[in-house]
Amino acid sequence: MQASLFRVLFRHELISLYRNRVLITLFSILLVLLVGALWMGSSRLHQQQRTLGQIRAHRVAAQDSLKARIRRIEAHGMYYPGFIWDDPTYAYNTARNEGPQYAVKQPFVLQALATGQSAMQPFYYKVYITRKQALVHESEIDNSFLQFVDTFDFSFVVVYLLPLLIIVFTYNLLSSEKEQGTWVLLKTSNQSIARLLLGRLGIRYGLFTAAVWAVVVPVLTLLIGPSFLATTNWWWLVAFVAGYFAFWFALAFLVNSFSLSSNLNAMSLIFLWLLLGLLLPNLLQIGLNRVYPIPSRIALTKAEREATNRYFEKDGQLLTKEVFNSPRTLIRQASIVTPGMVYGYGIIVSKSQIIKDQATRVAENNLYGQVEKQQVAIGQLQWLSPALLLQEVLATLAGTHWHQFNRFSRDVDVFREHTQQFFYPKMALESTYRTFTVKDADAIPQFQSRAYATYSGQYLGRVLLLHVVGVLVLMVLGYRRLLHASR
Amino acid sequence: MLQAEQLTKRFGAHLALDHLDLDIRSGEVYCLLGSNGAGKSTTINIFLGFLPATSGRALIDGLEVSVNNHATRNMVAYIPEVVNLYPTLTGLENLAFFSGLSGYAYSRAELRSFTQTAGLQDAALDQRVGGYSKGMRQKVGIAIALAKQAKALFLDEPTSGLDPHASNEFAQVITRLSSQGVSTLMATHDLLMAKNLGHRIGIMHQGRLQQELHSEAVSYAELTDCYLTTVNQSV
Amino acid sequence: MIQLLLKKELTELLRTTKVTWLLVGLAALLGLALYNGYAYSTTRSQFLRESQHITYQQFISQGDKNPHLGAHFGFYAYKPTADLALVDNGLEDYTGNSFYLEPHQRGVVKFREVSDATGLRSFGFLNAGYFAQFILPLFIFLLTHNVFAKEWENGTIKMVLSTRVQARQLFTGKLLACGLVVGAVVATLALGALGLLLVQRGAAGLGPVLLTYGCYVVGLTMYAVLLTVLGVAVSLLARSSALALVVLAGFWLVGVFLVPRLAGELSRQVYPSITAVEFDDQTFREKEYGMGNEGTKDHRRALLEQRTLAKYHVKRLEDLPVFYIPITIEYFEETDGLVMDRAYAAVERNEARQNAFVLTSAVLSPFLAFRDFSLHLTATDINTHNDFAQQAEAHRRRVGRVVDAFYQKHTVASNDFWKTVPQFAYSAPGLGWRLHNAVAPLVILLVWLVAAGGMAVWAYRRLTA
Repeated sequence: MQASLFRVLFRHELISLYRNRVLITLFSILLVLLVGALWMGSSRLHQQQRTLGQIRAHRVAAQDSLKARIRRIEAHGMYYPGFIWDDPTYAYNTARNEGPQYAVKQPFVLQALATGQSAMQPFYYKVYITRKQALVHESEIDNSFLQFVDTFDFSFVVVYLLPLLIIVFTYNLLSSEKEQGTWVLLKTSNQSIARLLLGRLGIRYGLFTAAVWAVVVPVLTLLIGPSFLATTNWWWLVAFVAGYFAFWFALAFLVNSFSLSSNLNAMSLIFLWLLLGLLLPNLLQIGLNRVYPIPSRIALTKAEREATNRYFEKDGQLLTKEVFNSPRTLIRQASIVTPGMVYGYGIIVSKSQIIKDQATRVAENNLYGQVEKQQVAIGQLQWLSPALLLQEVLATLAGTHWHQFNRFSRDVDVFREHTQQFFYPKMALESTYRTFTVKDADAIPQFQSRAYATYSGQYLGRVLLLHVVGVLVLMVLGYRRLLHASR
Repeated sequence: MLQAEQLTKRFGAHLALDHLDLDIRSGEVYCLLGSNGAGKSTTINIFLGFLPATSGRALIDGLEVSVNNHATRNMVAYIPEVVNLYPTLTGLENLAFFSGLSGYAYSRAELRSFTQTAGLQDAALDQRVGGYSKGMRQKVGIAIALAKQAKALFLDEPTSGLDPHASNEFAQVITRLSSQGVSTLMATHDLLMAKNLGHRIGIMHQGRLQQELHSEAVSYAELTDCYLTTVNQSV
Repeated sequence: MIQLLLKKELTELLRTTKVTWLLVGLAALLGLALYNGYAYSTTRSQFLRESQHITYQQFISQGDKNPHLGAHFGFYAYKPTADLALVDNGLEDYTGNSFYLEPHQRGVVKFREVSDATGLRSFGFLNAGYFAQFILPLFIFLLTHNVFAKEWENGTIKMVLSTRVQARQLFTGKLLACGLVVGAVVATLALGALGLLLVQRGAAGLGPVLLTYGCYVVGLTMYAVLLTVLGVAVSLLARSSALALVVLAGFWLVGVFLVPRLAGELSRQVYPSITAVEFDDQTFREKEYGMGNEGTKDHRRALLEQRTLAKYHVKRLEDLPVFYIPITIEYFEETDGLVMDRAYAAVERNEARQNAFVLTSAVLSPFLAFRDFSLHLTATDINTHNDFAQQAEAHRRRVGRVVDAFYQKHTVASNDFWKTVPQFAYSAPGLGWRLHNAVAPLVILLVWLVAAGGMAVWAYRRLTA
């Protein structure tokens, strides 16, 4: 009995969906967009991988050239024919020129699905003793206007576009029966309207979800290889996306249960979409920025410069005087760069850098602390907006969440300290400032990359459970309303 | 007043109206009988200018509808089976709006006189139409026709679904309008209403006017017989 | 006649509960958007003004130093908040606003706020501009989608058409009714923002931006009119409110989100950006080995030495009447500057091509065209940003020249000298320049307006047939 009802409904749904030209067209367009989004996401991923390849090659070439040049100078009795600031046997010169190493955050394959913060945050740094930055720029060269326009990826299609398609799929499931007059016939059949509607919605949900994955899995496999299927991240992602679709179907079920006109159903659902997908996150943003304002990085430089000025009022002043007025370094000092000057700069830079770092560390911790607090609040309030929740989860699973980039950035800070600890003693000591050898070149610290696409399974499990409970509540509410309506 | 000359309408291969000739005088009530799909509503829709004729002409007071649609619309009023009105407006507001569309600006008292003639209770005037019964909407429809000072009235199944009392009231109003010189073309399934109200009765079948009878000349039984013979014949 | 239609439509609209709710919700959102934009631009502009002052104070009170070392301490050029950032903050948070004025390094604008923002940022930033670009169109569509369709659904269309009203009048009446409601919203938005501008800038400060703001409001009105006409026309063509709603909401979604994002991604594919690694490699090579046949840096250094010695008729650098190091610094500042200028010009050219590609897609989306118009008029666009970067770089070089000239004669600079280095001040170009940048989006908006009008005429002509 049960099975045969399902068969009847399934057949009915297939026929009515197939005959609905508008739906078929819309769905086809969306599938094309989905393929487009996957292609663009994967091409970003490949682009990053190519860049990292360039960096590796660059690194090898720089290291080889550094060692070759040191060997040549050593072979010529420490004579360097070129400009003194380029001589790699000075530790300070190497620290500025070939010494800085790259710190790299290997993109996780699922980044092809959710760009997240990877469009904004650097995925590699060149780590100098004085700064960490992606070469001359703060981060990868990118067009601010395009960043403003924002990305077109799987995450965007799923979070924004597919819910609207689900709305088109479901808004008039019950109201159309009323409007075309078949409602009475349904009511007089011996099935409960609530069960019928739930069954039809369930079938549409199944078809919809299956169709999406049937497109995504093969296309993604073609684009980035099948390895992602073996990651647990992927299966979490599948579960969350299915849950997100279920939310929209359940919401449509509830809205349908109010027995309004098709038009009012559509308006209500579109409004809910706007509210949950755009307005609530926006309001949350305004609120969080009020409660936990994020200081500008300008404050960082202010603090750094203040500390530098303070230092140069006394200690720094003495140090510079000593360095620049020492007869050892000063031979018409502003006309010819002497070895003593390279050494002197090495001392001044390292000493003032320590001062600067101390000052910025406080300001930076304050900055990250505020963002962190906002993130914690988002974690607590994300259930207000399933769109926000899914976006956060997708970014986490793709390894592009703020947390993961922040962890990378902090790892790079630690690495910079190692680099400083390596170079400072060499450049700031009279006995070592010009003794940088091949062995030293090999000993320059290297960044140990780790996996950043990690997550807490327990946390995700809890979030998913809460989400499923929410969906069930919506469905039970709708079901109960319909039971009343059909009585 | 109302004339159809060889009026023909095709929907693709389907011939909905087949060379119809009609001539309805001022003050005459003409009833069109026929089964569903016989071409009654198509005829009315062509006279109203909602549908273009495939060939032939429809004339109102000597003016061809397809050429002078704007002028002919001034002279007509239309009452469909269900008089659809704006549910959020009151009866009076609906009346004021539609008569306004026809270029008449009436005072409240004048509007009230139309609704009174149409038989609508005063108490209902300021209620929203959303809560009106079918009969009440019908009366607003008649009031609109009165307010427009229409010379020709087109009625499409106006009494279906009305109770006998409301139906009777409706007939009285039409008779009164007829005596004032208003021509009426009414499509109906109600043979008794056609016999009692109409001066002439046309029976249509498959787009053709098959029979034309003078109502005084036939009894109700003869009319029924004639109707059934016509609609049961196959061409 | 039209007055009658207008009155009836307005009565109907205002008696519809959902429209009332829609208006209440909209008013709340509008208030919040205005407040948020005001709070943002006020705190920010004050912060940047102060910061510009502080950074310069820090520079001119750094005490006795080797001039070059002091120049390396440098100071920042901050892009002041745009005069109409209250209305639309555009790219402000995406471009960064801090430009480090330091020797040797061609400056880049740093500290983009978005890189310190949470994922919430991708949901947009609610201010008047966001309201006008995203929410207002949806409101217009929700308002207009059934203005004609309901006549079919209520079954009143035949009654209406059997009167002597003309299709054009019917259309105009409905359009005017919707237009009045939309106009009220637009007027509230425009006057609200104007009031806040007055509060923020004072009567004297309002004068200079008033004309620009007026032009913005004209564009906004044009945009609102075009969307209203479009909504009413679709309602007429669809004859079913649900279908009209799906079509209009779909158009909104496609135009607001899909077209720009898709075009953005495509433009990256069509005009790929140079990576920072390649950029560094290339500029390093060109600096070391020259862009043409001028020879390696060491070679050029030797030539410079010979030239300088010859100029002063001496044999050794030690015998020069001026210090030689600042001369080299100045020389390489110029030659390296050429390399960097060329490299940055290439990046900017490519970005301009990408942007043009995205803007071209505005042909498909009036929302995008209006956003672009809004960015240009409020001077929160990429053009203003590039203009700022150019002026800041010019200032950086000016500072370099001042310091190097001093350094040729002195080895120690005191605060007396630092004070002679000029402070940086930037103000965005005026209305003419902004309008010139906004020509393309304006033309697109006009074309859309004409097209919507044409569609309306076509739709109501079909109504008569």
